[in-house]
Amino acid sequence: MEQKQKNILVVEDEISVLNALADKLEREDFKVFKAKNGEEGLKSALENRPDMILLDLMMPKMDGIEMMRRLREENVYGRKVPIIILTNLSADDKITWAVAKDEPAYYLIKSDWKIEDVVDKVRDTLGME
Amino acid sequence: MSDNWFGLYKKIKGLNVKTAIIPTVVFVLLLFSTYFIWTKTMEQISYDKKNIFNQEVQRAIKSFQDRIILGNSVLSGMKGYYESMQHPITPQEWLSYIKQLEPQAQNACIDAIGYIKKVPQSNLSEEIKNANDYVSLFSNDFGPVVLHPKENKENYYIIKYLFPLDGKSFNLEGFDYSSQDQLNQSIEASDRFSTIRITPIQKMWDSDHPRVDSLIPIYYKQNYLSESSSTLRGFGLAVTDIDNCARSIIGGSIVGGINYKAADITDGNRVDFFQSDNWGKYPFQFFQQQKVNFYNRQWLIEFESVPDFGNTASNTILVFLIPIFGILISFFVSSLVLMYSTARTRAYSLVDKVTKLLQENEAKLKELFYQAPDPIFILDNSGNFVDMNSAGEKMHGMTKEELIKNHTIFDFISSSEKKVNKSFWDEFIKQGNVRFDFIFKHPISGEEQYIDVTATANYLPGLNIAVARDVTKNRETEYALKKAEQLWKTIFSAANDAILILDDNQEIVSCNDAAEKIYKESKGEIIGKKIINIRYDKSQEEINKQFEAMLISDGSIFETKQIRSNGEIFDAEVSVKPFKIFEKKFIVDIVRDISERKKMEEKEKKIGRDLKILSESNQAMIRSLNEDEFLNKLCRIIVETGKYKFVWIGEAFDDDEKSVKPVAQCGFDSDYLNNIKVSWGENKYGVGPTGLAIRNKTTSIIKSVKGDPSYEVWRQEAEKRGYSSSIALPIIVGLKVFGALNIYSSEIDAFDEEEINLLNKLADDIGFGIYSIRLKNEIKISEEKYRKMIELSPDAIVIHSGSKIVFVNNSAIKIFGAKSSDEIIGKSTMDFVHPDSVDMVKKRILEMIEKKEPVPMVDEKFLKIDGSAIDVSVVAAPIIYEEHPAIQVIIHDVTERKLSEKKMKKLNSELEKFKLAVENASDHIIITDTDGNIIFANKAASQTTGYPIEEMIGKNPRLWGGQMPIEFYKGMWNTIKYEKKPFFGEIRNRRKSGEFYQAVASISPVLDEKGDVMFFVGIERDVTKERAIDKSKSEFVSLASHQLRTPLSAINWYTEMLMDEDVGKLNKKQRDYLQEIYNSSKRMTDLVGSLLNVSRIDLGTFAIEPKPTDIIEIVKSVIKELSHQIKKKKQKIIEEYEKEVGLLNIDPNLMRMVFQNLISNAVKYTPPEGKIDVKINKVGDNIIILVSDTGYGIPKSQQSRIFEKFFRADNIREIETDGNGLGLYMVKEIVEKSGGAIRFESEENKGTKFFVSIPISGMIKKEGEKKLS
Repeated sequence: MEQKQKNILVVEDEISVLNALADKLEREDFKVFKAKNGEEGLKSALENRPDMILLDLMMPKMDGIEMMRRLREENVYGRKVPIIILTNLSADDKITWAVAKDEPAYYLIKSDWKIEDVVDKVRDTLGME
Repeated sequence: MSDNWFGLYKKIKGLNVKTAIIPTVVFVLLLFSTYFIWTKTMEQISYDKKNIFNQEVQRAIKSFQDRIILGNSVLSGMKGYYESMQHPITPQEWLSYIKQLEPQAQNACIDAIGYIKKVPQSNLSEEIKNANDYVSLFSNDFGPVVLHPKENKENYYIIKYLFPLDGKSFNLEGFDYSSQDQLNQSIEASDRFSTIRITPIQKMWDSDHPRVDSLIPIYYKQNYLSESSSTLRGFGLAVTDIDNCARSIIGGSIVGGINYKAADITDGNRVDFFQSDNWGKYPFQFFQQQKVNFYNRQWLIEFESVPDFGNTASNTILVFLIPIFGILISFFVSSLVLMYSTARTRAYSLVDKVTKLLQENEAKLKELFYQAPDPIFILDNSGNFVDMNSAGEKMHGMTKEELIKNHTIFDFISSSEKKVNKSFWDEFIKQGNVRFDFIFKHPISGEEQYIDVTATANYLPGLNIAVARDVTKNRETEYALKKAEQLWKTIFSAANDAILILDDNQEIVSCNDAAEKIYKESKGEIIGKKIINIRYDKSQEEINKQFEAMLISDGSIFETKQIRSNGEIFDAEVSVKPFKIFEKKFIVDIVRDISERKKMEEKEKKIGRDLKILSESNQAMIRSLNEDEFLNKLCRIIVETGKYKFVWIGEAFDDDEKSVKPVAQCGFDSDYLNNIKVSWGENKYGVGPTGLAIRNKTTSIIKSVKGDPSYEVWRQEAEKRGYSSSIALPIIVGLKVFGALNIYSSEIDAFDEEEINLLNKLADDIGFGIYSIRLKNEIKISEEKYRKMIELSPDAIVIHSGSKIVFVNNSAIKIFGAKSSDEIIGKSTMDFVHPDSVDMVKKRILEMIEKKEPVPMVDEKFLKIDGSAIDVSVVAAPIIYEEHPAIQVIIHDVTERKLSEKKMKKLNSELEKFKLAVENASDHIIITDTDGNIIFANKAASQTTGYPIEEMIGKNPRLWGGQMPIEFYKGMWNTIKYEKKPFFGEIRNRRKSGEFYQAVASISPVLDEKGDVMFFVGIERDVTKERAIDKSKSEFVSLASHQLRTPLSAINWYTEMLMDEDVGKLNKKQRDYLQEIYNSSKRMTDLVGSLLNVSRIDLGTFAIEPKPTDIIEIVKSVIKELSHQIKKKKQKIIEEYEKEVGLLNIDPNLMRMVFQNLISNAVKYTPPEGKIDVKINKVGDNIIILVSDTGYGIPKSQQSRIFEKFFRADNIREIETDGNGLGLYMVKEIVEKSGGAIRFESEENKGTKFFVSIPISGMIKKEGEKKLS
């Protein structure tokens, strides 16, 4: 079944990681928007309304938590859009959990995940085959 | 008695006195009032003074000016007079002129007239003489004044005042030179004038007439020659017309207390003239200055007051007396208040002491009182008994209650007592202390005793105390001796028997009064007779013979017949005894007329019968213990022995009918008592003998039943039974009528006097018998009570008498560890005294025997039967036990108390140690009261907070706390104060310096026995540094892991994409190389993860969060994860899990890490085709996990190090390069931190077994910030 191409926003300050994810996702037939910090990410998310956001936490200017908080407060789209948090901070950091729980958000530790698995998680979350 | 004391005490104690405060306040208030009054008075005085001063100055100036005006006019007049006279004026002329002047002008301006002449020094004496001649006209002059200018002593002016015009004033300066001495003095004194500025004469009218104008001081003098006593009182202008012998003083205001100063300021220069001696000495006084013009010159006159200016007597008194009185009154009043308060306070403490003493001594005193051997009575002012001891009861033969209820002391004073009576008693009440003796009559026995009494009146208000002592024996002996002489005299003269003294011629030489009666003739007639004259039955020969025998005998008694003077013959009993006086022999011959006795012998037989009754009744009384038995026995004795028809004893009842009911009877009754009714009231049934006997307490006799009208009611029944006469005798028990003894005889008038007497005695005996039976019973009951009490006493009671123990109670048996009293009785008390206490016990026994008082309680050591020691407290008292002196010893076992005292001592020393430990503990320790006020703080607390301990005491810990949110403190207080549980937490505090610090605190409530909070103990540790280090560490680790991981992620992901051939095909070499990169990167990632975990373990920040978990599921999933590698190495894995394990309360994440490490190690370090066993068993209270392998094993030498961080054994290092040496370290930490244990057994090249035990209760929860991953 032909599926509409999905838009993914990747917010990541580490350019090598950002490019790796973007290349991989594009090859997997996703439309990818890139943002290098929370500020850009928030702007892009509200402009482009991607189907999903991959979000790093530790970033300059505006960190991932702040961006997510603002997005969630912004509008209905912001509240509903699924977010996968991609970070190298431990999952037990309380702040992270406070934001992530009860939201359509998922938590991945970059170093624990193969890039293939990340793509699978994205597909899963979007309900794709 | 004690109620009064306590009542008083309570009243006084109710007031609250603040001893020192009130007097102090009174004193200060009074001082303030004094000061206030004083300052007000001073102000008023000062104000008044100033007013007076101003007035005085004004007055002085005015007077001065007035006088100048007057002076001018007078001098103008003088000028006119001079001019008209045209020659030097003579005194007479001058006088007559003056006299023409107005009296006012005289007084005001011209005080004296005189002679004045300028003379050279050489002529001075002569001129003075002349002057005297010149003025001799006037009688009351006072000598010339010699003036000379200061610069030039060549020329003198002699001024001779002739007289004061008003004839009385001595106000002016003047000098006497009537003698040479005085002249010299005058000359000398005149120098003083030279100090006055003598103004050169302004030619007012004629240049030929020299004139001196001067402002002069005016002195008051007591004696005008004495300078020292002069007082400057004013000033004046003196105008002296030298040529014309005229000098006038103008002005002269005289004001006390004002100093003057005058200066000439005419030329614009100030030229001082004169001033008061004390001018300017008193600063801060009133001051004024005035300019005055006269004689074309301007003068400045200044005034100042001296300190005592205007001081009236009353002012002085006020100024001095107000403060003095004020202070004195303050002291006096406050001292009075203080004395009153102090006295009151002392009184309270005194009352306290007295009350305490009274309380303490009351029991002892009571005991002494009641057990005193001498009777002691407490009596009121009317002689009623209030209280007494048992000796007092015994003395009266009555109980205390009876005595108090029915008697006064006057009931017991014998009628033969003459001195002691009601008025004696009243006198005693007034006097106070008295010692006397009186004759006491025993109410029952009637026996009289001499009682010595020591009495104190009003020893308490309205109460008198009397101590009695029986001194009968002493008194009797005294009396006996005293009366012995008299007795013999009396016997001789008053004896009933005739006493005749016979000489050796048988002649009567003396006789007594009784002889007159017996022989019926006078003494004179008897004396001189011979024996033969009075003897009837013997011849002279026989008498001679008998007489000879008498003279040599020791005396003899015989019966004989004698003859009276009237010829009557009578039976006589004669008693003779010879005696010698100065070798002459006499015989005393006592003759008793026994004719009456002979007659009585008949009667004696009957009396013998009665005596038998009495003696038998006494026997009955002694033997009977029972009242009924006694009375019935008596009735029987009376009937049987007295041969009476019927006897009964009726008891009087105090009922409505006042009935008399029979209680005993014997004889022929024939239902008589059932048919009659008897009362002792004043009614029909009370008129009979029984009723009368009871009512009147007298014997009542019915001589004939037939004839006696009072017997009407009973006659018929009595006659039926043959009762012809009857007698009723009252039976008195103590002082009350018990009833009556009724006796019926078949004979009429059967009771003669003797019989009645004996029956009366019998009735008395019955009364006494009943009384003694009752008394015996009472004593028996009270003895029984006492015995019970002693038996049941929880304290051991031992009675020691005659050097051995004669009684012990049950408690004593128990205390001595005996089985029965037999083991103790018969031994000596000393056998039970511990050697340590022997001396003390002996001392106490001696003391007790000596003082006859109980000895106070002391702690002693006793011995048990088995010889072991016991601690006891002992009190002992001398008592009488079974009529022997004995010692009653009360022993209280204090072993427990001693033990607890020892414990307390030990506890105290422990506490002391504890206190020392707390004082010096490195943790901050404070103790607060329930409101949080600090009552203790240790050194560390002071060091941590920066506040000295003294500053902390009494304050709240908010001193350094209060930096946390209010909710935090609310929660804390709730925990410690209401839930009463310890609180643990981390608190941010602030030091005295303002620096913040972080402390770990534990605050615990200390509860009392009731569970109420007494204190809070707060222990804190300053962890600021640790926290800072932790924070920086964990920040570093987090940051490091993030920063390390991010590039690793990028490497991984790019490698993955290459290897997945996303961007093009790879050849084998490329793939292999990429795989190497990837593996290394993965290892790096794992290492970072492990390091992160290790750092969390080391920091202790990792959390243990147990929850019910299936451990088997975890182990299975771990094995599944590793199955790929296991398969690869063709290893065999054997799993054995006990079914009963079930859910365990463990942290699944940590448990998984344990299994991952242990099993992956086993896989890693076991060669291919090796065997791995994983077993989980429940052993006792633990779950035992076994992971064993057949691997390379751990070399023995390195086994001790395998749990060290980064340690890897040498043998596996070569085999397996992959591995960081952190796994087992983490496992051990996790297992041990969660309450489990781990150990292993290993042999190189054989294999290794790891045993992990987890308690069935599960892992211990641990709060922490981070999870391990």
